[in-house]
Amino acid sequence: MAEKSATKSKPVVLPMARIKTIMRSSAEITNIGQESVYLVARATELFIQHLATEAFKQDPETTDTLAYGDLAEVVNDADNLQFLADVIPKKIVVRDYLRMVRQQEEEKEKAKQQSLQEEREDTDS
Amino acid sequence: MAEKIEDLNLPNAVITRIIKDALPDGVNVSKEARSAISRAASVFVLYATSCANNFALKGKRKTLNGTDVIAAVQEMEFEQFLDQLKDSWEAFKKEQKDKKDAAEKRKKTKEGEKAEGSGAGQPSQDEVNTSTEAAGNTDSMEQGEDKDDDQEM
Repeated sequence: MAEKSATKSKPVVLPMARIKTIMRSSAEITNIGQESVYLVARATELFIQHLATEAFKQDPETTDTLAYGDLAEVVNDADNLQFLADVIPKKIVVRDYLRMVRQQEEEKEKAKQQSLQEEREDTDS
Repeated sequence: MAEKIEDLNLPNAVITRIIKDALPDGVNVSKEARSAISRAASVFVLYATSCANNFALKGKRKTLNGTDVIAAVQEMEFEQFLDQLKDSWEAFKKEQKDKKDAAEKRKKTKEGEKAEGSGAGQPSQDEVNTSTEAAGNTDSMEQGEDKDDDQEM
């Protein structure tokens, strides 16, 4: 059966039933035509290929592995992958994170002192 | 509706195969990367569905059809998929039609057989008779057993 469909058209390897379940889990959907399930399945397959190849191209030095960082990089760079920003976020190390937090606090402190100073000037005048 | 949360994931083996086929031979895919792609694929399905649904609503239709999905893919800026998608769509439609035709053909030949078979209905009648006889036999046997039981009591 699988061989037969392989010669006829490009076989969808993603299970249509599962795709339909995911589609139906969206609240606003009422009816889903069979051909739309097929097309979403096929588009998802193309999407996976696209994502994998783009991420692989990202890092020309390491040609033997596809790492998470490559994916995050692609998602960060490509406009049409922006919807994945929360799904595949860029990772940062704790040291950088702490530095960012400290920087923010320093800025806050500065702003506070500035506003205090301004207040004092106001009362003086 | 999905019963379990795992029902919203796509099967790992299939995802892995698609990734492997897309990349050159011998490339390793880290576990983290694989699960990230899998999550991304599920989100892609939802995003495409929601976009397609917007087009269906615009067209005042209640059922998502193929054109809605094509329009959604375009809207999502994945134009590079369109040619392949349309080709697959044509193939799918043809396949569905062939299936339908084949089913109709089968139905017709079946009906034809039925029409021919009505003339030679005698053997089936005999079959029914023998089966009722057999049923009668088992009944009497059971009764006999019952009697035996009574005697033993």
